[in-house]
Amino acid sequence: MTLELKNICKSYGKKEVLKNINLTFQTGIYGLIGSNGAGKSTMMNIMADVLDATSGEVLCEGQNIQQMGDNYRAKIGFLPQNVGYYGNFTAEKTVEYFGYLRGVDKKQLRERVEKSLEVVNLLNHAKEKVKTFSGGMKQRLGIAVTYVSNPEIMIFDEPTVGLDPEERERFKRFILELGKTKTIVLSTHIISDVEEVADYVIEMKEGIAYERFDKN
Amino acid sequence: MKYEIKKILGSRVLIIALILAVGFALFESNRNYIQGLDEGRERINSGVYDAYKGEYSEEKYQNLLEKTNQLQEEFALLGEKKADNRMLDYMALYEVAENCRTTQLFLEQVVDEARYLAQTQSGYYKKLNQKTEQVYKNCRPDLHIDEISSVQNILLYFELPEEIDVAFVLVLMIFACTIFLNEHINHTFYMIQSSKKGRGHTYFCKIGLSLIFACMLSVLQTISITIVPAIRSGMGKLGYPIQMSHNLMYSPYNLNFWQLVIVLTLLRAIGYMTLVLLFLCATLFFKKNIVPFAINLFLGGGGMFLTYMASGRFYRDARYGVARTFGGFIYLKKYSPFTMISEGMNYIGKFEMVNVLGQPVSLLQHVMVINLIIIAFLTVAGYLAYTQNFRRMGVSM
Repeated sequence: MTLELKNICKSYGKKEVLKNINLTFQTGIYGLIGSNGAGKSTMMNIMADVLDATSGEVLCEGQNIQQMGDNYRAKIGFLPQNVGYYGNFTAEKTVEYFGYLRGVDKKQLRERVEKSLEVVNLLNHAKEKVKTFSGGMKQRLGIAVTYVSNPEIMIFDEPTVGLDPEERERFKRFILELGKTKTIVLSTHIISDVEEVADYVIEMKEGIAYERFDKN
Repeated sequence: MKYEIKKILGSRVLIIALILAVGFALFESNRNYIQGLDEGRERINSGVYDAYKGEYSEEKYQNLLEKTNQLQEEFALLGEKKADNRMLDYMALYEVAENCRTTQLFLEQVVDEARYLAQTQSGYYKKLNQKTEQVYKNCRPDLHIDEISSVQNILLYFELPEEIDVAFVLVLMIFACTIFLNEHINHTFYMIQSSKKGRGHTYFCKIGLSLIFACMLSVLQTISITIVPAIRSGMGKLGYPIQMSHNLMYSPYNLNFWQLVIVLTLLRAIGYMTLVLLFLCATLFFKKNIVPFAINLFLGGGGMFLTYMASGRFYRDARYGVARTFGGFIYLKKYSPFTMISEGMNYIGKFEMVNVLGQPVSLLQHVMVINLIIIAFLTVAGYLAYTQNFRRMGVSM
């Protein structure tokens, strides 16, 4: 699965947030690093088709993602920064809901929900309401929600915020496994989070992307 | 849609508002019932009542007229102590019989007049009178003679203060401010929008839920305002034709009071559906509750107030006497959902026509069709707003 950003620019009024981004993502793990305000989240939102670029286009297998519409969104899992949930939903219901939204087949949904919660070590808390969860548990729930539809492209914006060291390690192992067959893009401002897992590292600085590391 | 229902049930404000509205309706309904209740003085003498109760006929009317006149003359001559003490009983039954007769004569007169005018006029007015004749010819209410208090107490089901409608419209506003905005409030908007079913499918689920909620709200309101009189008076008289009430004597519709309750609930449901979509469209452009709630308060409150003033009920309630409608009221009746919510009886009480491309169309049909068109339009407009790019521009309001 190839995801291509071609001449992506994004401005808010006179402020240029992204400047002529040209990147190609294929199977593997891409770490996106940069300080706050560098443009990481903006770029990820554009890749997830929840934000429009001022100019340029995002192509998935050569096709514009906006023209692909629902078909593109069926291929991606996106975990935005500062995600929230519905407090009166249980963990299980939350993952089930997003699994349904992401097009998981009804017959497979239950199995996928269980597997997703197991991967993030929340299976024992499946029946508990999300409003009782700690910040770290909610972050893990977000990872489960992103994984439930087994998408080909997974975009994580600051996924390790709030996770304790043990859960961070678990997440890294999880990503390493997924990166063998999927396109994973994860952003962080903590370099050590990507050092061990990323095949490629891209640094964002004042809206410009610099390719810093290529394992190959 | 089950997930949307679960999300909505998480809104405590909405649940509390709904409970308060229902409680308020029950309270006002009970208060209105107690204030308006006519205990029927003393019960009518059973001998008199049994002789005339049941289906109205001209013969019964003439008998009652003769008897009433006779007893009144007797009273004038002999005084209270020696006169027949059943005079008041006869007068009560005669009042009901006279109303029945007035209705019957009115229906015959309208048919005769419409038939004559259809023959002498042309164009639209010919068609208008032909339609009038047809409608009133088919109107054959099954009029009954009964104790007048029993008939008047039926009206307690329907004559309720404006504030009840306002309370339920507020619930609708809170619902509208919840259903789309909860994605922003709970920070799930981007996760949903980036999902396969997160746009069109989610939008139509929310719209579907909104329309169902609007209908349920109307049914709930009907139950809230009718349950008290139903328990206290019983529902036996609701089988009478609506023409037995003063307000609806000239109605051309073959309905009984049961059916009137259903029709008013349906009208109100359509009005609520239009209103909820109007409120929803205001919320689509915002990420927080306050501004859209203020806009909806202006739209909803303004509409209710305008209807209240234009219908003349303000004039009546301010104790100037009867309601006096204002000139622009007909336009509200033609197009506005607010009149469907609070002025449903106005549509049923008389036969009004609208000229639609040279064809006479009943005002009731016209307003229902217009509101259904508005519902369709707002659904499409809302879809474009929900799925179009500008919602994702990151602008916060």
